[in-house]
Amino acid sequence: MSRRFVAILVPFGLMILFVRFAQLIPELTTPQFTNAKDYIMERGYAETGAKNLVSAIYLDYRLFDSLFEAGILLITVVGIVFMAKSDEDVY
Amino acid sequence: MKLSLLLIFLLFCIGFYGLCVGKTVIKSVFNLIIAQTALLLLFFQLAYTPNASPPILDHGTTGLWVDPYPQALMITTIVIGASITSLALMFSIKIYHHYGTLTWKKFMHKD
Amino acid sequence: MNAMPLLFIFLPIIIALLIYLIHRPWISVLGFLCQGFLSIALFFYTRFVQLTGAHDIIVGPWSKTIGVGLRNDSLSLSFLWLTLIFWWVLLAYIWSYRKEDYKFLFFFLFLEGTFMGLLQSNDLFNFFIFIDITTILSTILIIYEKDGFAIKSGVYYLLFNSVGMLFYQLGFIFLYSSMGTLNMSLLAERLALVPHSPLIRFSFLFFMVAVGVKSAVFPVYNWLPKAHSAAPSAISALLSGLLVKSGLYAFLRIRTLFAFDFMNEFFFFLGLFSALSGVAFALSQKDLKQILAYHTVSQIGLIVMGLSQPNTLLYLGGIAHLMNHALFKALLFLCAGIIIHHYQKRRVTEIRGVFHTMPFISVAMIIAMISITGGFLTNGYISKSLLTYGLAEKSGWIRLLYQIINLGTMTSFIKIAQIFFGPALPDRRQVNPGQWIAVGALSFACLAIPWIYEPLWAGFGVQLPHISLFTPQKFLILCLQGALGIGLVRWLTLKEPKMVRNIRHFQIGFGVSNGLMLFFLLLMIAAADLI
Repeated sequence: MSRRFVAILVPFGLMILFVRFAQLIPELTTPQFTNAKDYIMERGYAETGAKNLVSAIYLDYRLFDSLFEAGILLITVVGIVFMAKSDEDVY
Repeated sequence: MKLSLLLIFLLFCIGFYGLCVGKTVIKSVFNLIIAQTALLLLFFQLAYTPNASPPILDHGTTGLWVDPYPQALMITTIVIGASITSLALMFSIKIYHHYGTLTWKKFMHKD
Repeated sequence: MNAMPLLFIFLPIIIALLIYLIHRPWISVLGFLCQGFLSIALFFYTRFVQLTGAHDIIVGPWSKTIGVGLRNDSLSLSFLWLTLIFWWVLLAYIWSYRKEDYKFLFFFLFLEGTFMGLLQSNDLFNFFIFIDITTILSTILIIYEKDGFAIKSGVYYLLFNSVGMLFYQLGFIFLYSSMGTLNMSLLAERLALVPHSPLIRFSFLFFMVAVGVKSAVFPVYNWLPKAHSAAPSAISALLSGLLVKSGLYAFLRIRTLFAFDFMNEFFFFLGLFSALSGVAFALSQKDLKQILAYHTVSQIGLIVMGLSQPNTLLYLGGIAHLMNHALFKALLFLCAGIIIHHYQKRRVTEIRGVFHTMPFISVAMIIAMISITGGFLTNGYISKSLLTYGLAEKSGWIRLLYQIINLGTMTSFIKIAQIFFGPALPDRRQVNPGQWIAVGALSFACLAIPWIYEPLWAGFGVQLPHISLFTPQKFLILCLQGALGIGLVRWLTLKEPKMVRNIRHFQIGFGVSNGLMLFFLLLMIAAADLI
């Protein structure tokens, strides 16, 4: 019963959200400050030596994030291996 | 551009609706993937300017370039989404071993 | 000194990797060595930051618009000290059981590193990554014992928090598209220049939905009782004491970033309502750890009530209650873990005779119970008094609801206190020095803080007003609440009305919880438009 309730009310809520998003679109597509984009375009190649600017960001400017993304992969792999061992397996 | 943004947000709404009414764990995981993909596409589409070239410095035919910053951020987001998906699927295998079912209503509140 | 924030993040992670790679019994001592080194480093670093105000670094020689920043001010320093104390206490607690369990130590110390990173991060996307790593690590630690209840609670926790983080992503997508940077200090400067357009309000609301999911406020708290009662006891103490406060830390940071004031009343009533619902659900439960988990929801509601009004006495009460709640809730969960492990039962109605079987643990638990109800001579008294004084200028029925929440808390803990009576169990418990040290340290902190709280908080730059340690009217109020509480407990246990049973069996599924999250977002949109 509650599932039917949810299945009717949630599309109403999402429609309200959709309408508000459509009202926000003109503001979203005209950025007020574009400092990050201009900075990379001007000085990306000079500071990092990479012609592919996405690699320049991912591996030089935001290396800290990429390190922790590798950390997430490590945790996930160790977690999955740990979960997959059944209790009778001796380590 | 406006139509594509509306379509991408519609995709997000479809994914979120599926999360609200999905009966099994697998359906919830799939709808989470759909919603995350919709957000990735939204960020890429917002960073696009028409007739611009990819942000690789030798490929510039026009003077305009697409913003490279969102693309780098979303690489990380894709990896995070993949990790959460794989962990959730592993846990759903374990739930099936323990309870014999994957339907939310059957295993969540009963046993 | 400039690279100290990186030391706090990376040293536990490297030690965790070393412990996992080298499987020898002597490697686990590295955990304690790491903690000791970090304590000395944090002591010197605190003095350094207090000389200069706030310490801002960028990881790498880049400029502020494009690099990842880390920032430490007095708020994050107090959280760092709390983190360090927690990991000391919990390492002592788990030492005898998990000395040889290298995988547990790996996840545990990795969580310490990433949590310290979360507290220092100054960049919105970096903060998102740290929150996600913390979610994944806590899920693995919740599911560690691999029984059915733990796995289903862990899956619910992981999926629900991931949906919450979807809204966080929407928030920073909107913010980047108009502001062009993600560094929080730069964003604060730019947002102060720009008038409040609907786009910025919307991104604030999306951030608040994600923060609400992490902090377990009223519509979206359903993951918390399941996750916190399914986890092993040390992890329950960590989750309830510290990781749920990361949501409140995010709340403070994002509110400082936007400098909005128009949602304060909304958060005040949200906190009040979640405190009421937490207490109402806690009164109907019988499982010891679920009662404690619902009380976490209730106390977090009180903290959100306090934090919603900045620059008032209520705000100081909220921050004080945040720190004190971490200490006494961890103490409650650790004692509950020892009791449940010894008795092999979890229901409050079946455990009897704790006071004669383990007197030291029961004294510690009594101290924690007095602390959570705001009794004298404990740190809960300080924070509850600050909250009471801060509410003095609100209207009468809000104060009445607050007293009802306190009455409900006291009733619930009187109901738990029935485990102390009765005869002792025949088999004696093995003495476990690590657990005694952990429990003893936390109860000493709960008892010692009322005497030293003013210089302690002044060290972090917060001036708390002086609260007299004994007033007759508070004593009368506490006695009255105690008498009413005993009466209510007798009525509840003797007659057990059907409503209580229905509340206990009332469960919300995963789909309906997501619907409630959407309802939360629409409620905030409506509140933002009407104000």
